[in-house]
Amino acid sequence: MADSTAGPKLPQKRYFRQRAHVNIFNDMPLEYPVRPSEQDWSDHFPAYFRTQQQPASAARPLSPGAEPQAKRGPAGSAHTAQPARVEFADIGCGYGGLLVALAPLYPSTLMVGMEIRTKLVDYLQRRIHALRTFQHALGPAAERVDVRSKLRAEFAAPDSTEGLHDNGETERLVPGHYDNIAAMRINCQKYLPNFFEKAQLTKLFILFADPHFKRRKHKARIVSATMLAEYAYVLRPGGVLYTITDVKDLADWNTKHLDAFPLFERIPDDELENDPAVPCVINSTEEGKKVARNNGSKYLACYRRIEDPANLNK
Amino acid sequence: MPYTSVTVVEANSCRGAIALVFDSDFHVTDSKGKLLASTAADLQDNAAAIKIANIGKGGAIKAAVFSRDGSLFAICTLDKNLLIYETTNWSCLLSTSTEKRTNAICFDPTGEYLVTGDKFGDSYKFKVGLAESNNSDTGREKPGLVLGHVSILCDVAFSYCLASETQQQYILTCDRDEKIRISKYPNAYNIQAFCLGHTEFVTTVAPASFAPANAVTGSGDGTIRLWEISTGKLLQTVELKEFLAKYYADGRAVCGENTYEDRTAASERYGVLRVRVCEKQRAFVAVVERIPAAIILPFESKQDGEHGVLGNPQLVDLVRAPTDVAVLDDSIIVSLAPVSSAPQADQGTSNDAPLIAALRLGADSKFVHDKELTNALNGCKTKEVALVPAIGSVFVWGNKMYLERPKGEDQDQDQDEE
Ligand SMILES: C[S@@+](CC[C@H](N)C(=O)[O-])C[C@H]1O[C@@H](n2cnc3c(N)ncnc32)[C@H](O)[C@@H]1O
Repeated sequence: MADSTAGPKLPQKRYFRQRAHVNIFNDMPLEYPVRPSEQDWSDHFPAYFRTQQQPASAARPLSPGAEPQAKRGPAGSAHTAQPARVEFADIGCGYGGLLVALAPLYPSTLMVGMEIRTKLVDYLQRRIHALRTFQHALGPAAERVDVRSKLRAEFAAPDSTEGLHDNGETERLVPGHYDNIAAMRINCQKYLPNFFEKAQLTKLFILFADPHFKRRKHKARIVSATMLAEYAYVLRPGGVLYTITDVKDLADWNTKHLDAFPLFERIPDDELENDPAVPCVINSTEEGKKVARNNGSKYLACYRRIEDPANLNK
Repeated sequence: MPYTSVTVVEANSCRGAIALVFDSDFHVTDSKGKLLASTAADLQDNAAAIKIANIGKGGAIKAAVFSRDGSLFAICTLDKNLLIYETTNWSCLLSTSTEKRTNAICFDPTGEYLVTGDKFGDSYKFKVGLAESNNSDTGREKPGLVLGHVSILCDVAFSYCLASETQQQYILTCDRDEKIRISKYPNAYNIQAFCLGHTEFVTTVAPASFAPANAVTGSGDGTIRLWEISTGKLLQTVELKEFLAKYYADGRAVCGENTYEDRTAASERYGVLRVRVCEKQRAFVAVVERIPAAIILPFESKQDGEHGVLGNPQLVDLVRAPTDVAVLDDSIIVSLAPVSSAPQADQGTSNDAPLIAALRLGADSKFVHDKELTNALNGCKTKEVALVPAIGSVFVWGNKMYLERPKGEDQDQDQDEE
């Protein structure tokens, strides 16, 4: 661990706890753009987006189709001509363990964690800021991590002491330097289409969602017949929705709704073995670790966004 | 004693019928304002009119709608009843209740289903089922979930088919969170687009057959907007303030009545109550809370596949503020808000104040008051009441309350699961 008296510091989770439930139907002051093209990502991904500081004379573009001010993609990436875009979203990201684990695995993919509880967002933003600061302070000569083998070793022995990806890498360089992850406060059940264009995302994560046991609270569940339409809207065909939970009842509910939803198709388990995101989905979130510590079961179900069968038949 | 106000008007050109909704009752007239049928007990010595059985439980009617061909009519009530009538003999085809309160209803283009939008953000479809005209629920197709928003649904409508996109139909739903969702229909799980741009609740959405690629919406943000349905692209924003501010300036629009705890009282707001389509004139007509005028916006088509635009509005002054508007061929029918406590010139005393204003197309294709139809429609009396209930402002439920709250009240609204 880095010297704790000087330089950047990782925030401590225990100072950022918040009551478990926020009523998603309540009005609350949330910031969200009118439409995705007006979202300023520069605060979240300063390495990828120029700040929206326009000359005072330049009026805001009235055209809703205008692209955000974007820098080129990350240096050396294949898509330098494309403006940077967020492609992964973690819905209800909590303390952000998934993002921290995925960041070096997909170093040139932008990912956001979305969380409704202010304190958790605050924690994760500080955490990401600290990790970036460590990385940027290390300099090009520093040792580099072979992330995949590191993660493999760690997942093989999950009970060993705090893993590297628990807190992120502070002493060696990782690909992407955590410049590609960000956290923001959003009520995902209301405002996803304000942040993401149709078919913008390639991966969507719903990990250890709140179970909402009471029947009349079922509409508050992150997976529901009606919410799936919005997830399908932001995911591009071929994109993947990952769900995992330790609550059997919720797992059954999730698969029941996803199986019945025409735009999603279950990915068979053997196909998932080749997906590098899956071990992180299972092992890397704070909630997932808690379940592992308590020897709970984990029910994984991943679905591919497919084209509308109703349109293919025509 | 005064008569209770008409809160909803609905009309259908194919059927040539106008429906006037007041409290838990409704009248249906022909295009001349002659009473055809009514649920109200006293049919005013009109033997020719049909008495409609009101199977509802007496709750106020929230919305009323004809099917496109005018053969069906439906209402939903505040106490969650849903009724479908057939419009030749006014027999009831369906009487059922919904789980949540329904705010808006619309028949799908074929008239096979009645589609709802409810307070919980969900939209259901109810099979009309003309064959079995009994009211038992047995053997009926269960209402199916069409789609859902995590919000309150305010309006629901169907697009008109574009010739180029064979048979692709869209269902348009708008909600209290600034959104209009465009979903394919019947495969409504497939969202075509969101129309994003309004900054407050969206009360009304109007697709028109003369502009099948477009929809027009009205909102509590003081604007009427024109959209491209297939992409959700905002094409035009009409700022109502620009031409309606004069009604506040000269005192004809009254600020702050019936608004949320008077926090909204001070501001001059333009809450669009309804936008309807004048098919024949290729125009839209809107009414705005507190503004005593009908606002007619001509739709000007463009050549070469370019989108049309909403042209300069024509304003027709009304004696009082509106509650709703409907269109029948060349006629615009506006229902009027109750006489306010503040005395105003020309608004009539509360006993004989007109409940309806009708407009017709005059010379040089401008709308003018239609005295004949106005008189005929006002001849269909509503119910006498000791005190006419005030009409609640759309801002009461539409506003996000935290916006109106003093600083400090706006913490996270954490709530434990009970
Ligand atoms: C049980 S936690 C799981 C956190 C994390 N995925 C993990 O596995 O550690 C579920 C999180 O979802 C968040 N959440 C619930 N509904 C949400 C919504 N509509 N939008 C954003 N976050 C939400 C909750 O605040 C909570 O932090």
